[in-house]
Amino acid sequence: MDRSQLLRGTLDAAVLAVVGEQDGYGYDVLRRLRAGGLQDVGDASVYGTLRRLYRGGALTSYVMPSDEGPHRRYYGITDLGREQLRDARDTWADFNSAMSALLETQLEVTA
Amino acid sequence: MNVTTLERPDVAAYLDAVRSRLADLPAEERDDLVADVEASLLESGEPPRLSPQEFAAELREAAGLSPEATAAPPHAPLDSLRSWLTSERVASWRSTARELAPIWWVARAYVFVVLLALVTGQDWPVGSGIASYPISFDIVVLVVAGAISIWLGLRAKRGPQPYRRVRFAANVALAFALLPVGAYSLSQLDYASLGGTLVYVEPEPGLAMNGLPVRNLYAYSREGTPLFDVLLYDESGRPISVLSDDDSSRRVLTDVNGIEIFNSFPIRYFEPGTRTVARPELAPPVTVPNVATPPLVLPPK
Repeated sequence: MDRSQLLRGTLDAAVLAVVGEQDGYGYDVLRRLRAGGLQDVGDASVYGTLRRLYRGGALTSYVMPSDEGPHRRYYGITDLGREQLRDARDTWADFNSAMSALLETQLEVTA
Repeated sequence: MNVTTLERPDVAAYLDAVRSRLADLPAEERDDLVADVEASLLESGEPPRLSPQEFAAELREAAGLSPEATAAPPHAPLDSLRSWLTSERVASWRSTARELAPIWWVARAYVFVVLLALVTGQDWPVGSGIASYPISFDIVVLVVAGAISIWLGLRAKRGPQPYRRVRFAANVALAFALLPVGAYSLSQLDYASLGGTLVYVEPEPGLAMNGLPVRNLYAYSREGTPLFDVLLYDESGRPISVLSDDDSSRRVLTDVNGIEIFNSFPIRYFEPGTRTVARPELAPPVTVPNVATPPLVLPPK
């Protein structure tokens, strides 16, 4: 199964979940996504997703000075973002159980 | 350690190439996207795994932005210009310009200070009349303005800042003012400070007044009586003598030992072939003022 196709449809939820847990800047969010198991997530995809969610009002943003380099733009989740995250969780739970059931059925058929 | 793209030209070049692929986006959107990428590239320290084109395409797609226009070759002049502006070559120029930015930060401080001086009715340089300052007031103002400008430049380098449009407009205005301010400043420099050579002119021997030679001196008493054979000395006691065109006919006084005395005035000339002064009283027409100040009286010995 093509993981990149799966990621494409679920990256919004993953980013919202990471930022919802704790505010973060671009590279920080990327690192936490990868640490969470999405090793193959692309940096450009994450930064683009952050900007899109920010434009859509799901994230807020603020700039913080950094001792280690350029100023960092942090993203935090908004109420709208939390709502979207809840919807995404429900959708994923439904989808997951449906897919699991289907795949289990297939396993039983082929077994 | 505060790493910036000034220290990582490879990152600056990569970002410029990405930026050129986002040239069709509104400036603010583009700058925000690139600022996130810049901070991340500098922090991660890893070379990007995608080419700038691929990176920009992925960024666009994830950000829900329209893909870069890859339409037929541009026809309209505006399209050609846009295509040129987003080319790799212009991206490398921009990268070079970014490295040279500190020079501009200093130049704009100078332009700003000179403009401020002129607008407030000062001459430039303004400090020439302030003698009490141990160093030139101009230099102090310029150093302070330069430091502020560099600080602002470094801040802008480090990440997104407010009032981006205002700052951009101010930079453009100062860039336009650079040429007239430069021309004005050059016109204010004197010849010597432009590297010219000052020529020291050896003064002519003898007496001079306001640069013109004095060939004779005529002394009068306070009553207006012409005085003859007056011996003159300067403040150091040196005899004062003047040049003479024709020394052979000059009536030169001698002392008892036969030593010539050249500081006697007025200088008189003998008639040719004689040892006689024809008209000793001859003098330029002068009107001796009617002196009202009481004469000096020598103290009794």
